[in-house]
Amino acid sequence: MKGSVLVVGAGPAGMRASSELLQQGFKVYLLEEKPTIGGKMAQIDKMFPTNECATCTALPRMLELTSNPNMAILAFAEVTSIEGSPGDFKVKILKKPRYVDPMKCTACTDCFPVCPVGGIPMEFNLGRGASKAISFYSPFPPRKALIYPEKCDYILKGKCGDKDKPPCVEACEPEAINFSQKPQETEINVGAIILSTGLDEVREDKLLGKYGYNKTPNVLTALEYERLLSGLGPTGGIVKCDDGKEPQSLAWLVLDDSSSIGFMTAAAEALGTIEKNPQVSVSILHKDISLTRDSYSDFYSQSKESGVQFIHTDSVTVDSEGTGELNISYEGKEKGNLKAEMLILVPPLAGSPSVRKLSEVIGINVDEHGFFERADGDSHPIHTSREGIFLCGGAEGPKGIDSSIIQACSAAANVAALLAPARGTEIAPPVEKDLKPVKAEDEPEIAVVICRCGMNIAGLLNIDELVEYTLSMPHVKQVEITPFGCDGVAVKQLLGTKKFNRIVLGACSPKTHEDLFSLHTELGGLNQHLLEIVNLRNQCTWVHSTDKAEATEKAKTLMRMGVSRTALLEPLEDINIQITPSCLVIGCTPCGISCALTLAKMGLEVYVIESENDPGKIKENQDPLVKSLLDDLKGNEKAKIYMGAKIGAVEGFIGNYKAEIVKKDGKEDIDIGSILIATGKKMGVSSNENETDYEADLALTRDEKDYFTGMLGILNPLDFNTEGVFMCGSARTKIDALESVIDGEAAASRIAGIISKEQRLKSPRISFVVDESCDGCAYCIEPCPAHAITLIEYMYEDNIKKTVQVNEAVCRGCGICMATCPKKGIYVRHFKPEQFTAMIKSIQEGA
Amino acid sequence: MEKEYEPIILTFCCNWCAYAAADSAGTARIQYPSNIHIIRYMCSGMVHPNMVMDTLTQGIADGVLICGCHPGDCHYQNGNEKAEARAEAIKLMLEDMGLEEERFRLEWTSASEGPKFAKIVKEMTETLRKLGPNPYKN
Ligand code: SF4
Ligand code: SF4
Ligand code: FES
Repeated sequence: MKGSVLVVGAGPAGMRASSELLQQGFKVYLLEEKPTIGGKMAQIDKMFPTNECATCTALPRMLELTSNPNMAILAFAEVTSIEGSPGDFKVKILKKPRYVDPMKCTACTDCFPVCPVGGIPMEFNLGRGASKAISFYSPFPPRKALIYPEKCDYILKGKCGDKDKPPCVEACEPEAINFSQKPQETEINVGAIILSTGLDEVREDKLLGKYGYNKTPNVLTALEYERLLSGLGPTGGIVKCDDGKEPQSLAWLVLDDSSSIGFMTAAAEALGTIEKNPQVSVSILHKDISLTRDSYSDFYSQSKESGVQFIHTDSVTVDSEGTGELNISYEGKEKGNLKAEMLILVPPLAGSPSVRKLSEVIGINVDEHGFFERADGDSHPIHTSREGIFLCGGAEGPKGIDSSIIQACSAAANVAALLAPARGTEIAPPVEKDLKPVKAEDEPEIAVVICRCGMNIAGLLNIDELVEYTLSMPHVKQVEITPFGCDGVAVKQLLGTKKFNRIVLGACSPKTHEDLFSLHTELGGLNQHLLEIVNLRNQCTWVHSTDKAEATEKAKTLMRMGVSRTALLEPLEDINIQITPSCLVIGCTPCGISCALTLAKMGLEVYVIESENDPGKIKENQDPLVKSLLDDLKGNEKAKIYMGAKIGAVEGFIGNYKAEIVKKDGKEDIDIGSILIATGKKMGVSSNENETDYEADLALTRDEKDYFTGMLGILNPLDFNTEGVFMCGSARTKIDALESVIDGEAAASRIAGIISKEQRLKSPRISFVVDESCDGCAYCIEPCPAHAITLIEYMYEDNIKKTVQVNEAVCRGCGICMATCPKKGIYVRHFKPEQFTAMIKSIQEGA
Repeated sequence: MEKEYEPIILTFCCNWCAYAAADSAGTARIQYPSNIHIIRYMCSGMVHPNMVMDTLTQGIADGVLICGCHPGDCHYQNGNEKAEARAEAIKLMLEDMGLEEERFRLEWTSASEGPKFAKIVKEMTETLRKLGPNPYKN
């Protein structure tokens, strides 16, 4: 049995399934047909029903995935065959040629300006914006150039302009461009497969043509419009008509009445539009719609209150004669007409166009809309007719990102249960570290590496002047220039001499490269927290690119700031938290049952507590699928079910909870690493005070409808703010039995991410109490979002001394406490006030 | 002739949305004045009001800008709300110290709002150019 998994499709569902599996100790191959990951989530601006920025939400997750050593991203590739059986599939993969070696390309973009072929409509922007024949496909990872073969002169004619040697090849320092690249077939061996191929708009002429799509200017689809809303899109986030004018009136026409997704998409776009410009008028024309989720109805009300006009109508005609303004008349429940400068059509959604081919390759049917079909007689939504292959997200049917995330977790849980015996067998061993012993108080000896980044840094400032200047700074012993810092060569070489105890890298953004540079630093033999990255590219040369002298001066100041802080950096060790490998499930509801059973199948111990005496009698448990799951659970030796029992006091923190079980015949204490709240919908006010005690113990929160709520954000539907505690099913939202089962499995994945390992390593960049300064005023306690701080008292020289204590297992390192404390009594490691004071003071020094 | 006064602006960007916004302004090659100096903090709620006030009353910078995630998008639940509450306190302290309120600004920028970030920087630089140097300088 293999301990690795193939995930097909790197949209929100595929990315999430991958990261869940990585957390549980599986190796993951994430395959994507497009050259970059992110799927539709990367293309849209804001997401319903939370109105969060999609890029803000997706980008950190993408970077996490790309830097994980157990993750292989196979971008620009397709599956050509799958053979074998659950636990042992052989998958053939065809990688499409990029004509650029991604291992060598440093994303410096030096080749773009020299390419003579431009004006190529950008597929990522659905035809808007223009790129060169060599370019990035999108702003997202993997950030590697590629050549469009059907546009490249050299590929088409064997000559680039009149040159025999293409100028891009000349411009490319790392020699990454390779015109002889051919499609490449590889084979991988995995234990299970997840299909997360996503959705696409049906942009068919027979459907959209009558409203002027592809005929009349300023009639576009919802996804096309997302690119206009996005700050990373072709218009920099300013909505513009085809003639460059900013429209003052916009209308949406929802053509998708099979689900509420189209309606919600229109609402989100209209809301996003007026949030940018409250002056414009926005109307949504839609048919009858039923919003099944409370969160959707709330979002609808929110957009209505913000000024979005909703028009309920059955038939619409669009007429664009004359002025360029669109005349829209509608009939049905409401009748009338309106004028708009832009019309956005919201087509129905179908499975991604490539699924038909995939369906033949893998032998699982798709329906007429391009959604994979379930196995006959199996009501479980994510099972396919081929054992060991699971579905999630848009591959299974139209749905929003919120539901895709849940299904992705559920698919990951199903895979983890199937491959439980092989968990951890294919993950990379931790890197051997041989670190130079450094003490915080050691005299700083700083090495500096300045990256040319092709011409991105070196071409836009005077690099020799910068080097000379940097060398004159206190503690700086050596300064080296490197063509591309991201290859790690210079860092490893300098640190390999063991002469330095700090390193500064003047390069690109720490946001995208900190993990990589930290790895190089440790491979070079220095603790990663002794590295400082100075953002010379994204925050200096690229934004001051018209004045070399100005960019050079700014770079000097930034280096000065970086070096000043670096001198005060301290080596830090990861924090290791022991984990109790078991879980408490409160409530024998459909989701409680499915979660407990999934965990038990993964080989993890689970306690299920139910206050009813017979869970078989609970109404929601009458569903045939739930019934069979309950029978399986009863027969599983990993699960211990307590009926007619309640939960007493609970204490502890992630990985280390203690709970009291109150049974008819006495009490029992259990140790668990994680807790699931699967209590179902709250019925009236509880008569027994004790019943809800654990809610207070765990600082659980409910909304005004008495549903539990937790972490904000579309990616965290099941997570409470209290780490290690999760919610699912009708305890958190209105949900049917089948969805509850999925919810429970999804929760099992979240939980297994914690308890399937004996210990949890976490970043040491968390808070630290300075006992001498803290006077126990307790101001920091309440603002801490993690409830990490407690007040303690102790005897010191016959006096009672008060101070606070931080629970390292739960602190998130946000520093809210540090900013609250009036006495400098608490700080976040690596964010020490002295380090920043030095940095700030240095700004002035050069002036 | 004396060199024309150029304000120095210290900027705290939270690591998540705000720093990403500044980065994406770069990726899109949007130009903005070189007056700002960005410090990467984990959250806008990590910025101690004293850090802001010291920077101004010691005459190190002419203005301070804090950028965080939009309301509801903070990676630590509500650090940005904390920052907002502190901004009120900072404004009062500025007044006490005889400093103009334009010397401090708190803004929300999402990861795709590079253009907005650049716009804020331009505006603030302009405002401070007009306002003249921080009276606490020297
Ligand atoms: S760390 Fe600061 S805020 Fe917290 S109790 Fe101590 S003195 Fe008060
Ligand atoms: S850093 Fe944040 S999570 Fe940690 S103790 Fe301080 S406020 Fe709490
Ligand atoms: S993380 Fe951005 S404001 Fe808190």
